[in-house]
Amino acid sequence: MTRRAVVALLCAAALAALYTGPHWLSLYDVVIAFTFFTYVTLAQAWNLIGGYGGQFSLGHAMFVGIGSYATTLLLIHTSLPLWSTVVLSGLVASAIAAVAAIPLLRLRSVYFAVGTLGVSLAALSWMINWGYSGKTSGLNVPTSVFLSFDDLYYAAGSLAVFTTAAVFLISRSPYGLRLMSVRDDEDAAAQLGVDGFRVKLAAFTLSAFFVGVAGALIAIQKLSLEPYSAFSLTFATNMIIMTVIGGLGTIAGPVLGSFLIFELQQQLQSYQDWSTLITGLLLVAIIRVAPGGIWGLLRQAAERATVSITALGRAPAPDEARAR
Amino acid sequence: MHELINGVLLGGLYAAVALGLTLVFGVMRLVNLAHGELLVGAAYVSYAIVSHTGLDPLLSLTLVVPAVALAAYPIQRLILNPLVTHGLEPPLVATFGLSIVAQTAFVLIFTSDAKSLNASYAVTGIDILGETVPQVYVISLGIGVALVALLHLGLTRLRFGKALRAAAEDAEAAATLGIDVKHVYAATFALAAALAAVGGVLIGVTFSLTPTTGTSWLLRGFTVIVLGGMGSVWGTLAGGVVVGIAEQLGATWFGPQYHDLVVFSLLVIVLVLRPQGLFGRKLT
Repeated sequence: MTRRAVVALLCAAALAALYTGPHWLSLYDVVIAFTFFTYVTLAQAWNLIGGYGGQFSLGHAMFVGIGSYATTLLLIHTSLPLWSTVVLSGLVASAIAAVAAIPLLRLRSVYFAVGTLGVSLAALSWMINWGYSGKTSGLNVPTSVFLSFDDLYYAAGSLAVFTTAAVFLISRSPYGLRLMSVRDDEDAAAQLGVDGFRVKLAAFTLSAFFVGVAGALIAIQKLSLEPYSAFSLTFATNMIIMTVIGGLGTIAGPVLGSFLIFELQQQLQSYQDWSTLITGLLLVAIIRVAPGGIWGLLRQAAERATVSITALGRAPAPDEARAR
Repeated sequence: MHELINGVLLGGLYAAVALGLTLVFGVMRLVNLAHGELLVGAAYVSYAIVSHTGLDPLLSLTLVVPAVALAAYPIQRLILNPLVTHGLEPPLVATFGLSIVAQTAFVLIFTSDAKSLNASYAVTGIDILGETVPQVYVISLGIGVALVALLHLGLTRLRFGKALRAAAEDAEAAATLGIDVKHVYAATFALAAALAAVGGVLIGVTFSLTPTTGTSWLLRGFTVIVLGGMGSVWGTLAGGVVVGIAEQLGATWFGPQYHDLVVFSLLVIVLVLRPQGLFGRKLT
């Protein structure tokens, strides 16, 4: 069997397990699976701009809050069906991302990171003072909106699968190559006719769309929201940590990272501060010893194993020899 | 007038808050996302000393400054030094992780309740040009200006200051001339932490502390150094004054609840319109 077939088979098995989840998981697991799915979505969405795009956004928490507030406001003030408010919330997050990107994406590297953090905190202070969204007391989702635990499981699960699939397809597309070329060397990419700004803009707005939709689902699950938790920097922190620990700019990395952080939080549920502390230390340790993340380590180990098998009785290829 | 006086006075405090950020960026091109936690951490250490011994917060600096500097040296030497050669993002991620670790440690040790450093000069006023301002504002300006002047003198006159500037200019060339760049980097970080300790204690006396206040001070500090030209010592003082005045004017025009919004918007506007800052670029 080829490697591709193995991967396809594994993916199919995972999808089947996810789809039948509510039938064999306990009710408790179905409920908490929602959180895991939103983690995967958030990490994968951040991975698109942060990992494949190399734009280290510290401001993505803003799009969670925008998605949450957009869907709640739409539900309060319009009679649109629930699913359409969720999609619209993603589009609202995208639109705001596009506007914010016009100045932000002109900044490079650390300036971009600090700029996004500034915009995110500015958005939070705006929401705290905005009468229309209830200032610090926040809003409640109308009581007519009710989703069962199974519905929430499927909604968040589909979003996680959809986001992962979308990022996978993008990363393998010509556009994905342009995005990565901008990440690796924006000036060289420009020489080849790649418009760095437009390429990054597309990734940033698309990333914000997924985060906004996740934010909408989070609001619907929580049923009430207020600015400090909806725009909490913890969302941005988690996205970055899960992606970097798992493996920046890979598909499996963010999923693996989300799972690790989610498990850690579950195990240390009554010691939340300790789990945050461990997570922070883990981030420092990973960036220091294995910048490719845990997925990078696994892949290296696998490659070393295959190389040592195939290298037996084979002379090094010319360019390999030169590299030594 | 009221806003101008308060703004200028607070500018000194802001300069003290941002100097460490300037130094670390100026020498190592490192944006220290844990700078806010250096400030807040120092203020917490001072809080612990003050509440145990009854010492005056500013006098507690004699203990806090060396303690924070000593703690900071190995962080740069062991964690950040190996990363600064790998481009801009890896050290950024590392300081980001450190800031999370520090914030959580503050919660575990000092709880999430707001704390402040009590001192008589924080509550008594003083008359300046017909306006009554808290004494501590005047003290902050004095300390801020003194720190800037001392740092400038140190960088231009002292042997270590020259080594530091050489490392900032060209680390490889400095290394070939026999300068221990790794040590210089770590000492720079320790010096930045010492400066942050002063800023942090001033924050604790003038305002209040929670484990997460560091983030907004990081951004305020960053706004100051961007205005001041990213890594310029005198520019930091000028940037501090500009941010101080802008924040006071913003609070008057839009309402005091918008003062954070004013600073963060200012940061984004300046980053975009004038990334080289208002006052040039050189470290000294």
